[in-house]
Amino acid sequence: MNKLKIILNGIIKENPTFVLILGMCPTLATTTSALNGMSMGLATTFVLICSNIIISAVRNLVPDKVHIPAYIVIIASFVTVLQLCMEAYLPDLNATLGLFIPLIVVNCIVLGRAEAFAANNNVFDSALDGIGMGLGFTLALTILGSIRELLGTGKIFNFTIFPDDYGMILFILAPGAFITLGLLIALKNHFGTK
Amino acid sequence: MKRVKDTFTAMVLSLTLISLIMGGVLALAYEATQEDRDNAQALSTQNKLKAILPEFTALLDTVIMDTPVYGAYMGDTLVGVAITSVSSGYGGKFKVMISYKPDGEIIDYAVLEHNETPGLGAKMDTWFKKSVPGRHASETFAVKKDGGDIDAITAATISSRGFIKAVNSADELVKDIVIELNVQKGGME
Repeated sequence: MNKLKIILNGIIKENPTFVLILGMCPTLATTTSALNGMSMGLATTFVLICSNIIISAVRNLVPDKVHIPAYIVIIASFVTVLQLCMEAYLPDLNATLGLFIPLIVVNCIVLGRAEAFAANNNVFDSALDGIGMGLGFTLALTILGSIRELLGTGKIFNFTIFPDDYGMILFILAPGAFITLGLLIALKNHFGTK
Repeated sequence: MKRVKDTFTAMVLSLTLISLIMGGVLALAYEATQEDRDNAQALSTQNKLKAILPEFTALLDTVIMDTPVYGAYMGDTLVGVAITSVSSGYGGKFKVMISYKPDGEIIDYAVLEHNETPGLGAKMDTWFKKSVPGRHASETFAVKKDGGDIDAITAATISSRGFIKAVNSADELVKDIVIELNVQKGGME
């Protein structure tokens, strides 16, 4: 397969959020602002790339019957490494994302890509798939976060676009996440199925 | 290379090996980041203390009546105290630090940890700066809905009540803590 195609596959054709509809929990919960969404996306990207590489490297040494526990151990370890690094170097961000960092372990995207791609492809392609899927997820979360932050508080990445007073609190709360995500998926389907 | 067959030995060996190696990776990461993690935590508390306390030359970090307390001294004189107070809001427990002059006047506050809704309860980090500092610890605060005079955060009454509760419970301790801190500084020399 063409290398560029693998990356683009994750960003557009099989975008984890808009097409595969995977990993909804962090998608809905952490996109209250553009920065939070983007950080969550990048954190997941890191775990995706690392776990895809290692899982692909050991794919033939793990018998089929125990492949899920083996993959989960690998994924969980990288999530913990990520959390330790965030505590050390990005403590504020770690405090904001809180519980959702350890929850990357159970994010369907990570295990899904391990099963669907890394378990059957070579190390280099798996790394590319991790990058593509991660960027696709990051892009989706950033768009979602930007829209919610703009409509809810009048800011994007903390830059004021219009005064706070005109913000619709609904978009910061959970219903706003569902509404925005639903409309974005509809938009993607409209242009994607033409 | 073909995939290893599902034999008992292969399963046990592969899982054991993977767990061992990943355990090693974790241990390495833990060791490598330990110092920076401790520093980051200390620095964040330190910065918040500097922001809410008057200028000081020595800082005493102690626990009085089960409450973590920071005493700020200019030379030998106590110039301010910061009291950590825990309360619960809409998203569970949160922790704030409230600073007082030795006479009980509230100087400022800082939110240390919280899980309040962004855009609503999370606004508490700045919202009460205009209503609470400058007041005296002997007053009992309440939001307007409960008959007090503090403006609650719009659409976040639960978070606001929690915050006010945190201030009130710190208020009750100030007097005793100031006495205790004056004694402790005397004992340090």
